[in-house]
Amino acid sequence: MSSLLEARDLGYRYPDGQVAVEGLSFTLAPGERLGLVGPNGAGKSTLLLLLTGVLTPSEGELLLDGESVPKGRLAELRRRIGIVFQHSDDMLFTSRVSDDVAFGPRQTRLSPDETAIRVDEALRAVGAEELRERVPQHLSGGEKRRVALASALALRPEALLLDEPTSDLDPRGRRELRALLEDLELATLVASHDLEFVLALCPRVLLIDGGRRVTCGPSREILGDEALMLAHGLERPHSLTPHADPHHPGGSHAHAPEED
Amino acid sequence: MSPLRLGWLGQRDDRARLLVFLLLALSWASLTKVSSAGLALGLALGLALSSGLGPLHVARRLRPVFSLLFLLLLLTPFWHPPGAQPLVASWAWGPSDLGLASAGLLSLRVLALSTLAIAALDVAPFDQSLQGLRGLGVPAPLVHTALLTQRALARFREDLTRIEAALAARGFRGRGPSAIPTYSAVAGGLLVRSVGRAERLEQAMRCRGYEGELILPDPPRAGLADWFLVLAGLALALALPLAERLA
Ligand SMILES: Nc1ncnc2c1ncn2[C@@H]1O[C@H](COP(=O)(O)OP(=O)(O)OP(=O)(O)O)[C@@H](O)[C@H]1O
Ligand SMILES: [Mg+2]
Repeated sequence: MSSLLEARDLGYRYPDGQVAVEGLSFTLAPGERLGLVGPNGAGKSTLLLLLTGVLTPSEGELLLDGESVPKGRLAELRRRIGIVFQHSDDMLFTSRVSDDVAFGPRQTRLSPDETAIRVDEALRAVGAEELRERVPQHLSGGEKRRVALASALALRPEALLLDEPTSDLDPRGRRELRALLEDLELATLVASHDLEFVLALCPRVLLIDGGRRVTCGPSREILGDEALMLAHGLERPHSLTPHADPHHPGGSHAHAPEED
Repeated sequence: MSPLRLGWLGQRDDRARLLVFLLLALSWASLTKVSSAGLALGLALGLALSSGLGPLHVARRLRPVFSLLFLLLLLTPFWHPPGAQPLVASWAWGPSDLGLASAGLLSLRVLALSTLAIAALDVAPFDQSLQGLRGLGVPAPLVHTALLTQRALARFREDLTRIEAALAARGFRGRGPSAIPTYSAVAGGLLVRSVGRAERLEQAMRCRGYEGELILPDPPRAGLADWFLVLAGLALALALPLAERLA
């Protein structure tokens, strides 16, 4: 299988000594949607930052289109891989939505005309055309998330990394996001605790814990393995519970791991 | 804060707007007559109100200026320049006529300039004004620093508002010595948060092609209305001092 993005024995240690990712390998194929699951502190967000070249790996290597990306060329990774942060607020900083979406195209020195095309295209893709002249800081959580997604799409990335994309979406917003991501047909890595969402969107998942890869494989198989899920602080999605009890939505509440 | 629907002044070329502001500020700072300073204040108010800023907004922005002027108004009338006559004949050290006149002139001038600054800066988003400055030849690093500082401050304010709401929701009154530990904890938390925020913001910018140099959009080409604005500003800047000379 050809891979768009590949991690080989990737490791990252924060400056304070905390090891967040260790010996992690996996591949993301072109057009593939891969779920990234694991408990709090598993290293999901750190891994996404490594994959997009924001953090420099302490160990291991990254391959883009089968070619190793040397540490000096991480900027290229940043241009070709789009990311939407866990908190959209961290991505929006101008006084107008359209300026925020235009930020990437401008930084990569696209012409004003091309920039305008990209902004229209990206806002249309996420259904946020009507937000164009709004002040980003005044938007609702779900609207901010759509704008943040648009600002990543405006660079026409080859792959998209999403960190907790559903955390502030209502059910409709969640459905719309899923439909949107399916339409994009872009290689996508979705880090999320929303396992129903991951299950619906991603045919394959990568389970990590303590910065290490636990397993990687078909979503139904891994997410449906109750013992495995519980062992890593997760819970089998309700839709995979063999005899879902309509009176107890959530199914396995008796064994639910403690909330943090 | 900044109006979304830009008034006529906000729609003008940012360079033209700022240039007019500079011209008028230079000219009005040297006015010597109470009448012309009053006229300048009137003009500045007219400029601000006609371009969509509400009277309440202007008043709120002027509040710190008023507190500053209050001190000035309290002391300056007691100044006795050569030739000044006390206002109350029996109170030689009381307020003098010239002292009162200079207090009036000073406050009118300060108010006129402050209102002018409000009209120049608040009628359009701040980053747009900064781009105008860049267009007028202000060095890029200066403009970028100002831009990033402004964004950081805006974030800081948002955090503060949120924390205040969270404190109020838990019954915090914010008065008396018992509030001091809370305030210092909040200040520390805010600082740590804003450092973390700034870091993530920079990461987000780098993900979108930022490599240490901000690229701002080119300002749109100045139109006829913009040139007219500059000419009108120049005429106005010359008119008031000239009128003072002639009168
Ligand atoms: N800036 C940092 N400095 C030091 N340690 C950090 C930093 N950011 C994260 N860590 C640590 O790295 C580990 C992985 O964190 P990370 O945020 O990647 O986890 P996560 O899987 O995204 O968790 P969550 O599901 O809660 O978002 C955690 O132990 C965390 O405490
Ligand atoms: Mg995370």
